[in-house]
This record gives sequence, structure tokens and C-alpha cells, in this order.
Amino acid sequence: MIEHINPDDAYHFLREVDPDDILVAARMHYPSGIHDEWISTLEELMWFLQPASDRDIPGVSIEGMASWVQDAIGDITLAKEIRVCKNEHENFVDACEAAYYKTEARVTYLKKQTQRNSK
Amino acid sequence: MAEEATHFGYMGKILHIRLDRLDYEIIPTEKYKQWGGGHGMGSALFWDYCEDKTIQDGRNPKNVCIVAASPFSGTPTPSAGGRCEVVGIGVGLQPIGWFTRSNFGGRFSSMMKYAGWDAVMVSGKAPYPVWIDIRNDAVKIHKAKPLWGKTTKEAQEMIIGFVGKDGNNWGWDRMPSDRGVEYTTKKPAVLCIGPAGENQMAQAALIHESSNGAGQGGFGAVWGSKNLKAISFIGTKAVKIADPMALVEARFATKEFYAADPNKPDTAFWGPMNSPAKPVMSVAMPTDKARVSACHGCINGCRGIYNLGYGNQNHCNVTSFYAHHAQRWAKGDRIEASKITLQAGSICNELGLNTYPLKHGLPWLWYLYKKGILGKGKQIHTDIDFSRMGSVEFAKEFLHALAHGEDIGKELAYYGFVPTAIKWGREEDWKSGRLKFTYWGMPEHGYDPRAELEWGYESLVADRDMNSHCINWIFWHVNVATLRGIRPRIDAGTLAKLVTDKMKPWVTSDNALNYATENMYSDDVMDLARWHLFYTRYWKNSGLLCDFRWADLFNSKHPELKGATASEEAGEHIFWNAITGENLSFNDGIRRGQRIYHLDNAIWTLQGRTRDMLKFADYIYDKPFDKGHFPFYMWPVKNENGEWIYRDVMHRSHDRKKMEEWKTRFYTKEKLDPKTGWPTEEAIEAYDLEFIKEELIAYRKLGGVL
Repeated sequence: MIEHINPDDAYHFLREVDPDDILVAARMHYPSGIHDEWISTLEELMWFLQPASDRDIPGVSIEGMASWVQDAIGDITLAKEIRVCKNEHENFVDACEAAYYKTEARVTYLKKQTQRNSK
Repeated sequence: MAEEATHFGYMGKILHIRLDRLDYEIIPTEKYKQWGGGHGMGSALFWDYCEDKTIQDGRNPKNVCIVAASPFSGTPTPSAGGRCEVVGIGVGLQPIGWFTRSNFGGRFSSMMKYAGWDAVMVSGKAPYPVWIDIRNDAVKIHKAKPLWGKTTKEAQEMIIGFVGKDGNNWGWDRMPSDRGVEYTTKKPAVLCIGPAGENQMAQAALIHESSNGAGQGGFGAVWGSKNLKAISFIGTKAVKIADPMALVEARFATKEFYAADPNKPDTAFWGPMNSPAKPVMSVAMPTDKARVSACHGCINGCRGIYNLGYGNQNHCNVTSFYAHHAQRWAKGDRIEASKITLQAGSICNELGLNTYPLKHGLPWLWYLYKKGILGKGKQIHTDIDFSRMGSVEFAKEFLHALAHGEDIGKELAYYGFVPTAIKWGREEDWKSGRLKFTYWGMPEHGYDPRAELEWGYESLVADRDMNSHCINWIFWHVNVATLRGIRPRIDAGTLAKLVTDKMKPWVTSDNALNYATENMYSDDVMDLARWHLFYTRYWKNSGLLCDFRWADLFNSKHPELKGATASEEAGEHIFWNAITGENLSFNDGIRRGQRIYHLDNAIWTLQGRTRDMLKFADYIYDKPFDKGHFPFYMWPVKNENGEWIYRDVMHRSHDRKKMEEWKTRFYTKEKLDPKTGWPTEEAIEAYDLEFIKEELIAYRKLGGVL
């Protein structure tokens, strides 16, 4: 990500969205069941996507997730990258894993930007 | 010898505790064998012993609650020996407390059998708190004053200490026996309530050991309303098996043809016997110092025992209802979140709380808090600090409030989430699906009825969330393969044939598994739902085969991909006949399930049910299933060319008019009055239920001529 984000925008992207704008996703934990996760920040999205065991798959539409990042969070750049992940990977699990690394990098960067402001 | 032969698989007697009189009677099992065991036996006992079936709240002292074993209980039948069924009028359902059921595992049903009993029934209300102490044939009703107010853990420890002669149960205990005095080192098996039950909360569960809970139906509140704290069984008898070699051979066949081989891991195994023992957790393993734990006689250990001092045997929803919130609190640290989650689960177990309503209830409360509607001094006042949601401290405070009826727990846990939402002026949250309680005031299970049709239909025509995963395995196998980009192990056409072949003659076409939108309301799909409803009523709820392992409709280990269900080597009936000496066919069992369903329907009818009550929450009709959750919901469908494929069946809603037509056809097919859903003369004759007729007529609830 080469674009520069100013601290104000970084704070904005890391904020908690309005409860009406949360992303309702689910954890598909094989075979124990489907468990809703209500995601309200980019950081929560990162935790949600983090690869875990082979029985644990994020249950979410990748396009729905990208739209949420774009419309609710307002981060068009990350939304684009998530869509690229979908197009570049043949299967959902790999695309989600790629989206995790993109989101993790983005969150790390955004946090650094906010810390820069606090200095 | 002849007398013994009549009791193969059964112990021959049922214990009826008359709490209002503080005495008991012994009922011969013989009359009730025709219902199998578990649910069927319980429904029949309820019919015979509940004098007023019009009651609409399980807390009514006229309610009768039955806890029943099956012939499989206490035997080494794979994944069947330890399940136990509870029936009676429930608490917290909508619009009334229906006659309902719940089910739990462990070793309670097996110990009940070893003590010489097939079921225990409680009626009336004790004048003061009591617990029941059963040691073989000796039955004592004790005052429960020292136990009242105790957690389920404390109560069980106290009872085990009381029953054990030296207080820690390590010695050899003298047991009264029909063979004189016998000795055992076994611990009694205790089923009890915690504070939630004592306070008669709709969310109260019956708890056995740790995390074996009968949660749905609010039976903890039923026991609390009866002043019943616990029932303890310990016994030294054995279950007589008609043909032990047949049982052993069926077990070997299960191992050879159907069960996963731990020495040959197969990650793409298709079928419910697909994995070796492993805790079924929705969170990360909290420690590497753990072992598996299983119900009595089970070939699969699906729970865990940890070195943490908490979380033991927590599994399934008990490990998920708080997981997301804990993960947020732990800032993504999965091990820490897991520890918090297991502690929250243990708190629920100890308080005797059902975790299931919290699955969708907690996120809804969080939403209200975040919107500024719920909180200190807010529109909905609470002193509970929701900013700490996800922490152990919040779990303690919130769950304590639920169990003791304090703060918002007074409404949420006593009446349930849906009535509370309505009372709080938030009915729209329920109608819109923000508060996802889909049928009968119960939370959606995870498998949306707009996509997974049989789950919705069966829940609708019964009394609660169906919670029977036989057909649902298709969702998991197909979707996990698709998500991973792996070719499905079994193609859609073969799968449809394998599944529907097991359902003959109830299902006449493989089109029954075609969940395409244009086929949603077809007779074929209805027949599949009917088969599954009756299969579950008998083989799983009455025979007490575990939902995690049965039915086995397809199985990638078998050379022809066939599952164990209905097979002549290791089918349900093979085990049944080996144990009972009956000559029951697999389909005889399904017919028994149908008969049980109709008996249940007669009870719902007397309680006041009409066909208009059979409806989903509004969002199931008003909104397409297309937000969040899944990338797709792949299911076998026939495409435009009539070819079988796996296709996404999301993005649709149910149609009210077509659902009404579906109900009419269902009632007609089941010989019920299509205008009301009530039993008709024709149904009574067809299902051999003559004994229900008089009472239906007395209450003017006999349905019209078809």
C-alpha cells in the first residue's frame, strides 16, 4: 500500500462503525456449527479472517466483505485489495487467507499512522 | 427365565415420583415398550399421567416431566448408550409453553438402567425443596434445604458425597440389591438444577455432571417449579441383551465399513462417523494438556477435559455463545478468548443456564447497548456494564443476573428473549431478524430455513428448533469442499440417490433432495421432511441414537458410499433387535416415529394449537437470505436440463401463500384436519391412537372429516 494516509483518516478507518452498519458474518466451525460474528471494526475483521484450525472457516461473502470495507469503513483501497484476493485465488479459503494478510497489513499501517499523530 | 426374556433392553419398571404426596409408585414398563423408549415412552406416559393437557406453562404444578432412557442406554451400542430424553410442557416457548423435548448425554440414562429403571416421571409439586435418592430399588425423597441455592457442581458434589459412605466415594459402597448386599465403587449419576432452575427461569437447564445439559424447553424451570433440585441414580444391575453376539458383530461392522480409522486419517471423509475422538469446540484449544471425554458407550469422544480447572466437557454452543465477544475483549488473542469462553460456559453449567438463547440474544443486547438504548439510565435501564462484554467479569455479572432474575435478567431469562423484546418495544428487531429467533420463540440454529428446507419445515410442524443434523451433513461436506476448492467427494446425483434410497418407501424420488427454488414446496421435499421428522422422533429421540453420529445416510468409507443407516450389517434396527430381541424393521421404527409425532400433535392440540400458529418469524418471508453469514449455501439441485449439480440456494425467502399451501398438503397427507391441524378419526385409526379420541372429543378438539 503506497498511498499515504493521514492520521485523521487512519483513525476514521479504525473506528467502530455505527451498530446499524456492522458486518454480520459467521464462523463455520466444522462440525460444531455456525456461529454469528458481528464485526464492527477493521481490527475485528482481521481477527475474524485470521487462519485458525483446518476445521475453522470464515463464513462471509468476500464481495459482501469488500463492500462493507468500502461503504461502512470507507477504505476504498483495502476494499479493492480484498476484491483482488477473490479474483486471484481459486478457492474461498485461500482468498480469505490472502484477505487476512492484506487486512493485517492495513491495520498495522493505520495504527502506525495514528501513533505518528500521538507523537 | 420367561420373565427375564420380556425385559431384554429394558429394566421392566418406571419410577413415578408423586411430589405433592412425597411418595412414589412403580409402573411396569411393559405397556410402554410399544413406544420404544425416550421420547415416545415419555409422550405416552405424559398422556396417561397428565390430567390436564390444556396447561400452557411448564411451571404449572399439573405438569408432568419424564426423563427416559431407551433400550440402547447402558449398552455398547455405538453413540447411543449415554443419551437421555426429557419431555413435558416446556417454558419460554412461543406463543405458549408447548409440550416439548430436550436431550442430553453423559451416563445418567445408563446409571438409571443399572439401578433398574427405564424412566423417571415427576408429577405435582413438593411442599418444600427435595431431591430424589435412588439406589437400585431403594427410593428415598430427601429434603433439599442444604442443596437449595447451590450450583449444579456443588449440588452434585454434595449428593455424591452423601451417597458415598466415606464422603469422597473412594470406598466400596454398600448397595441394596435383590441379591442381598452388593458393593460398587461407581459414583451416582445426578441430574439437577442450579439457581436458574430454582428461580424458574425459562432459560434454566437440567445439568448432569458438566455440560451435559437438557437446555431447550426450560425444563430447569419445570423442576424448580416443582421444588425438585436433583435426581440421583446408582445401581449394580446390568442391561440384559437378547443377542450379545449380534451386537458385537454389528459393532465390528460399524468399525469395518463406516467409522473413521484413526490410523488412516481421511480429511475428506463424508459421513457422520468421520473423525476420531476430538473435542468439538468452537474456539482454539486453550491448553495442550487435555484429553477427550465421551458419553457412555460412545465410539467418539467429542468433549474435552482440561488441566485448567474449568471448561471440562464444554462443547458445541457452550463453547461458542461467548466466543466472539471474548475474542473482541481479548483483542484477537485466540487462546485467551478460548479461556474466557470456557469459563463463561462453566458459569452457565454451574448456574444451570441454557446457553442457546444467548447465541443470538447476546449480539442483540450488544446492539442495543451500542445504539444507546440499553445501559445505565437509558431507555432500557441496566446496571450491568456492557462495556465489559467479552470479559469473564461481565459473564459472571450478566449470567448471575439471568440465573437469579435480577436486573434485565428478570425479564430476559424468565419470559425469554422474544417476549422481552416485545415488552421493550423492540418487536421490530424480532420481525426483521436482528433478534434471530426463527420459530416458536427459539433461536435460529445456524441453518437458515430459507436455504435448508427440511430444518425449517420440521421445526415448523413440531414444537421447537429441530436440531437434527442427519441431512444437514450435506451442507457441511459440500460447502467445506467447495470453500477449499476441492472437488466434492460424492457428486450431487449420486448423493441424492444415496440419501433418498435410505428413505424408501416414504420418499419415492431422488427429487426429494432437490432444494432448487422451484422445488421448495414440492411433495417430494415434503416427503423427505416427513421421513426425517419421523426418523428423528423414533431412532434419535426415542431410541436415543446420538445426533452427532446418526443418521449415516452416505459414507465415503463404504465401497458403495452407502451409510450405516438402515443397513443389514449395522443399521439402527440391527442394534435394536440385538438388544431387545424384537424383529423390528428399520421402517417399523419410522412408523413408530410417525405415531409418536401424532401423539405429540394431539397434546399440542389440547394445549390450544391451531394451524395459524405454524409460522416462521417475519424476516424469513420478508427478506431474502443474502446478508452476511455465508459466501454460499451449496446444496444438490437439478439444473434447467434436469442434471444434478451443487448450487447456491441462498438469496431467496419463503412465500407465505405457498407455505400455507404446503401446510394444507402436509396435514392432508398426515390425515390431519387441514383447517386446524387437529387429529381426525382417520388419523386416530391410521396411527392406532384410539386412546386419545375420548379426550379430544371432550375438549371438542377432534378434527373434521377430511
